[in-house]
Amino acid sequence: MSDQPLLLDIPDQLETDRLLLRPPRAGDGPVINAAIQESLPELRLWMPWAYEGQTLEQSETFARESAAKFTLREMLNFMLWRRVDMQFVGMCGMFDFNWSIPSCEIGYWQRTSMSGQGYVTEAVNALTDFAFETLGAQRVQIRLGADNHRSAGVAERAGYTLEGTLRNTARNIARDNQLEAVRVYARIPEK
Amino acid sequence: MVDKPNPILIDVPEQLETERLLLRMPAVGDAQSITEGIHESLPELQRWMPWAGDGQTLIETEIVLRRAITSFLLRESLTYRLIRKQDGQFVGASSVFNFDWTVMRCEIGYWQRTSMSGQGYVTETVNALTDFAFETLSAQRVEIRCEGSNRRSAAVAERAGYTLEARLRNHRRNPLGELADTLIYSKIAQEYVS
Repeated sequence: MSDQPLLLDIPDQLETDRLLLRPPRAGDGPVINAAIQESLPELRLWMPWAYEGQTLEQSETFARESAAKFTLREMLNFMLWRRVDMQFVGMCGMFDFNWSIPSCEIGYWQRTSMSGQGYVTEAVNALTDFAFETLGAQRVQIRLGADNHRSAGVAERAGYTLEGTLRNTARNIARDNQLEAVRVYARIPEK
Repeated sequence: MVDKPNPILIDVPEQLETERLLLRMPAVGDAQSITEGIHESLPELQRWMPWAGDGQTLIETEIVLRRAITSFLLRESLTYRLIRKQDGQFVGASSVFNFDWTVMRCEIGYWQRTSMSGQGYVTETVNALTDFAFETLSAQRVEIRCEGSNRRSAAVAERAGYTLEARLRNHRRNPLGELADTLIYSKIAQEYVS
């Protein structure tokens, strides 16, 4: 497997049944920010970056940094757009690459108003297949707070196996800095 | 909001004592005994430790040693040399590292001279460093990780009362370049008995 990830050919857009996935770029700040504001009560429970809210500037910064990191193959964030009406659904990203394996982790969030329709599971499936087929991945991991049952549901529906629960691993700022266990899910290529 | 503690201010003993061992912070000039220990144990170390390479020269060991001293002072990683009290023999080394001070959690790692194995020295060391992590560093979680097929290392974790929490499949490439699993063992504050 290439240890020159910069030279890997990565498509600038992916399609699933109902979604278009493409990396964020300059100008995407307002769309992302609107979705975050709408979903803040839920997002801030699980995402430390959302705990204190997010300004328009922060969202635009995130979009531009995502574009750069995508090119560097450091982090591959994808915006999820519903094809039928080009509504922004949420984000799904690949990060923590270990190119010697190769392996990576997938994370995701969605607009509260778009939840319950299987969009994120569809995106996670697509990115997992992409990791195996295009990146030659031998392992894709999802980590989530042990109380985050909605997120666990996505991982399970996307065929990830729970490998273990790591106790006392993090503190949840949204829950008074209480100690939290972290669940590790993973998929490896079928033999 | 939890105040972020400054680890550099934590008092960390430069020496710990167990029944049969002294655990000592590395010192400039320790390179000789360590280099000999590595060379003697090279086949075993090479199989399990990515750092073992082709063995180390005295100079390479001295460089690693000096970095270990500064890491200790900065509280980035705490490496202790294990010395047998009865005859001053170098037994191996054990480190407390991978700190997340906000939790607080850390990991313990170890290696020993092949000729000193089978006598329980590493288990004795892990027990002492576990006590140290919970009592002096106020740890909430201590981890031991090893390669899936490293039975000897897993056995140390088990004898020291750690719980196997997860097997991460295809998580690493071992020194042979093969895909391998990582076992995660842990002990948490709620179950710690001094």
